[in-house]
Order: sequence, then C-alpha cells, then structure tokens
Amino acid sequence: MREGSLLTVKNIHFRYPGNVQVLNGASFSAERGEVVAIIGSNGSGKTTLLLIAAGLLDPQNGLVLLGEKPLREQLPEARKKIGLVFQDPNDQLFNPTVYDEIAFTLRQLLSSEEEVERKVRQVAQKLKLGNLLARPPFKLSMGEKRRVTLASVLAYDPDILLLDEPTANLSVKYVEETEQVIMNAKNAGKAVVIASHDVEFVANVSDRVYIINEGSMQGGSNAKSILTDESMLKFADMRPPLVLQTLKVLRLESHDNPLTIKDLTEASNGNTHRKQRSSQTQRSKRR
Amino acid sequence: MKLRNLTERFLENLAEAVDSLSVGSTPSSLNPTIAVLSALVLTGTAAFSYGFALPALILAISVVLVLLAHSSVRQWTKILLFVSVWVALVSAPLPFITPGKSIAVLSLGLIELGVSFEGLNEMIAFISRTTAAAAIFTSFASAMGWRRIVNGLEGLRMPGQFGLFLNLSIIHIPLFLRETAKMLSARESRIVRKIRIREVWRVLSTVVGDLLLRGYERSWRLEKAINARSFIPLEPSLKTPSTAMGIKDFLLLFISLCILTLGVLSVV
Ligand SMILES: Nc1ncnc2c1ncn2[C@@H]1O[C@H](COP(=O)(O)OP(=O)(O)OP(=O)(O)O)[C@@H](O)[C@H]1O
Ligand SMILES: [Mg+2]
Repeated sequence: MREGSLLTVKNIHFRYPGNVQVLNGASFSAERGEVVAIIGSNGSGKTTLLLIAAGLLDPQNGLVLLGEKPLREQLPEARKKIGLVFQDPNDQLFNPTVYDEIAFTLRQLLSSEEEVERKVRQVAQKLKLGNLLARPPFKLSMGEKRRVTLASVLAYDPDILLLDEPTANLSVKYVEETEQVIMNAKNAGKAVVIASHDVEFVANVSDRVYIINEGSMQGGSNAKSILTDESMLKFADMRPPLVLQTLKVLRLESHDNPLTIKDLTEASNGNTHRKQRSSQTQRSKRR
Repeated sequence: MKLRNLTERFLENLAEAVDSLSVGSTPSSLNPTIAVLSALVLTGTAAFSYGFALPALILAISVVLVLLAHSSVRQWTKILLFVSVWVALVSAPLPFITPGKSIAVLSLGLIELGVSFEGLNEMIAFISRTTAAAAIFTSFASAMGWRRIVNGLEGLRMPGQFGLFLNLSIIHIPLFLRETAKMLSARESRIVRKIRIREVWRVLSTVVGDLLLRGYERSWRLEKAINARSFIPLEPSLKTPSTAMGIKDFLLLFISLCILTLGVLSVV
C-alpha cells in the first residue's frame, strides 16, 4: 500500500445478505495521474469492490480512505470527487432525457440553468452526444447509453473515475474512444480505476494492475509485469494478452514482451532498424 | 398465442404512450408554474363536477390545447381510450346496484338484474368526469413534458423529493411494462412443444413473481445510482428558471379560474 494516495482501499471484507462472502481482505490504491486496473473473472467481486470504493456499500470490515480521511466521514460532499460508471448503464440512467441525465449533478452544483445548459452542451459535444440530448436514455443503443453514463459523470469533473467494465458491449471504434477518454482523464491528473476482464483493453491503458480472485487481491505492480506473469494470471483464471500468447505459440518470444499490437509494431520496427543498421555495417566492413 | 400477442401489444402501446409524455411538444412556451396550476385547477374541476356540461367543456379545452401545442393526437387518444375503458369496467356495476327507475332487466339464468336509469346516468357521468380529468391533464403533460410539470410543481413549493419521485415513476412505468412484455416472450420462446392452455398460463404467470424480484433488484441499484451522484445532504432540488409571465399565461389562468367558478356555482 502506498502512502499519500488519493484513494486507498484497505483490507475490505464484504458479505451480501444471505451469507454470500464476496470480498476477503481486498486492498488497492490509486494516485493522481495513473490508471489502475482490477482484473478478475466473472463473479470475482470487482463490481462489489467499486461500489464499496464509491461509498455506496458498507463493508463489514476494512476502510476506504479519500486522501487522508475515511470516505464515510466525508459523505455526501465527497461524492463530488468520485465518479462511478456502472457496469450496466440501465442501472445508472434514471432521468427522462439525456440532457437531464447529464444535468442531474450540475443542477446541484451550479446556480443557474443557463450555466447548467452551457456545461451540458460542452460535455455532450466532447462525447458526441449533441444530437441525442432530447432523447430518453432508455431508448438508446448500448454504446450510446455507455457514452451517456460516461458524460453524466465527466460533467462534474471528479478527481477519481471508477469505471466498471467500460468496454463491455462496445464495438472497436467506441473502445478506442473510451481509451482516449481514459487517457485524457489521466493526463488531466485524475486517478482512474478500471474493473475489467478484458486483458487487451487493460494492456492498452493501465499503468498498474491488480488481480482479484474469490475476493482476495494480488499484484498491484506495473501492468507489464503482471500481464506477462502466467502464474499470476492463472490465479484469476485469466490468460495473457493475445499478442503474447501468439508469440509464444510461434516461439517468437522476445525479452521486451510486447503486450499490444502497438508494442509489437514498435518492437518490430526497432528490430528492422537494428537489422538494417547491422547489415549496413557488415557491408561497409566488407568494403 | 393470440392472447399473448394482444397483451404484448397492449403493454408496448401503453409504454409508448406514457413515454411520449416525458418530452413535451412545446415545452418552453408556457410558464411551468402557471401551467401546472391551471392543469390542477381544471383537472380538479373536471373530477368533482356534476352533470355533463362542465366535463364536456373541459374535454373541448383539452382538444384545443392538444391542437395548439401540436401534441401527438394519437398518443393522447390512446391514453383517453385506456382510461375510459378502465373506468367503464370499474363502474360497470353502478347501473345494477343503484336503486331507481328500472329501464331494462337482464336475466342471467336464475338471477335477474335490473338496470336503473339513475344508475346508468351515474355511470356515464362518472366516465365523463374521469375521462375529462384525464384528458385535460394529459394534454398539459404532453404539451409541457414531465420535466416542466415537475418544475411547475416545484414552483408551487412541492418538495424536491416529490419531483424526483414523479420523474422516477414516469420513467419506470414504461420500462416496467416493456420488461413484462419481454419476460412473456422469453417464457413463450421456451415453450417448445404443444402444451395445454392451463400449463401455458402456469408458465406465464411466473412473470409476476419475477417482476417483483426484478423490481426489488432494480430499486436496490437505482438507490445506488441516485446516491452516487447526490452531493448535497438534502434531496436534489431542480432549480427552476424564473420564466416571466406572458399574455398566454394570463389567458390560461383566467380561463381555468372561470371554469373553476362555473364548477363552484353549479354545485351551490
Ligand atoms: N445484490 C447482491 N446480493 C447477493 N449477492 C450478490 C449481489 N451482487 C452480487 N452478488 C454476488 O457477489 C459475487 C460478486 O459479484 P460482483 O458483481 O461483484 O462480481 P464481478 O467481479 O463484478 O463479476 P462480473 O465480471 O460478472 O461483473 C457474485 O458471486 C454475485 O453472485
Ligand atoms: Mg461486475
């Protein structure tokens, strides 16, 4: 556990009514300007952990710290600093129109409807929702709903973003857009926590990775070291990114372990450069 | 499975009609507070009126309102049909149980039921009162949209919690209806062989239990969703933009008050 993190979740034990023990001493932390991923298979407790981190569920044991102080003591004002995007958009959307959905928090923070409207339009434009503002959120497609939930949270500019399976049900274009939103948030100094079982996506965006299985957590070091560690991944019934698996099958493993196509392209460009350079030097030697 | 298709279409249509109320056709042309006040006055007058004249007048006003606001006549009619059929069902016993001058006798085997003039009169008056009340409120709602109605209610100093509650119901009624339709299809799609009608009903009726469970589950998550974005300890209150009153608003208020006076005078 790092000291002085923006969000610190310590040794959480949680049981749902009906004795379903979900978390057994889960801990993680997130700092400003970093993307932390929590990966684990279905039912491992990721969603529950995020609800607890957002102060929406009370654990039987353990502590959530926002800055130095317990989150509990800072509610409900502290919610301004935490933006949770739910796994299922249908659970999150509860306003009659997309406009109202985005304006819901702004109306609590700003004093005039003109300011609210200006801000809503600004956020909507950023997430390409401009022409959907008057529509009821329930009638949108899954991808559009996801963008609305993201917009409704980005609108109030929280310091911490908790994203639960942000790429589920999204086509490639929207996955890339979501990655861009995450990168922008990171560069703006926000702490981003992602719960996901999509290792490819996690490999693309995250700085550090935790693994969760049956309510306990491991890892927490840099993404590459976790995502290439097969024994660690096996702990959570996960597999390494496809690029890595392919290289292994083809017996082309390289020491720099590329995780994504981008890494691979860079690595192979580097290799061809090196090869070209070495063949040039050989040729000049021969001369 | 004609019956289920009918049920599903009915549910879908009703959901569509309620949905259409959430976004108004001309939301910002009236001052929300005045409009809601007028809507309440007219609805109340219609609901508590005697005779047929006042309900007919209010029905006429609501038609004018629908036309002026360019609201969807179809959705408006659908809601009215639904309300009047429902009210007719509920008030069906009135002609038989109200004592008075008998105008017809219905014989059902051993039992003979007398239809009284007073009872029939009362039934029709009841249907017209409720239909007029529903008509006028629906025409306001479809012109303004629920958001403005809620704004108006807050202008009348209703607690913010009430507004949020209204908002939530208006969203969840259609969702709930659609969910029921979907659950019925899900069950039907898994009835793979010919079975007796009684069994079909047994399978379909499990929808009820499921709806209760889902309702609970959904409200659990909804509470989380609202809490996640509520920063102030009190309920979120929508800040109403103070729209100035125009000539239209004065006219509307004047007409409503005239009709209220007519209603009061007809009682006295
Ligand atoms: N409201 C609830 N009541 C009782 N048990 C629950 C509830 N919500 C979740 N659970 C149980 O808790 C466990 C963890 O659920 P959770 O949703 O946190 O997992 P997850 O890691 O997010 O899974 P997924 O990847 O499928 O989203 C599951 O076994 C689930 O059945
Ligand atoms: Mg989950």
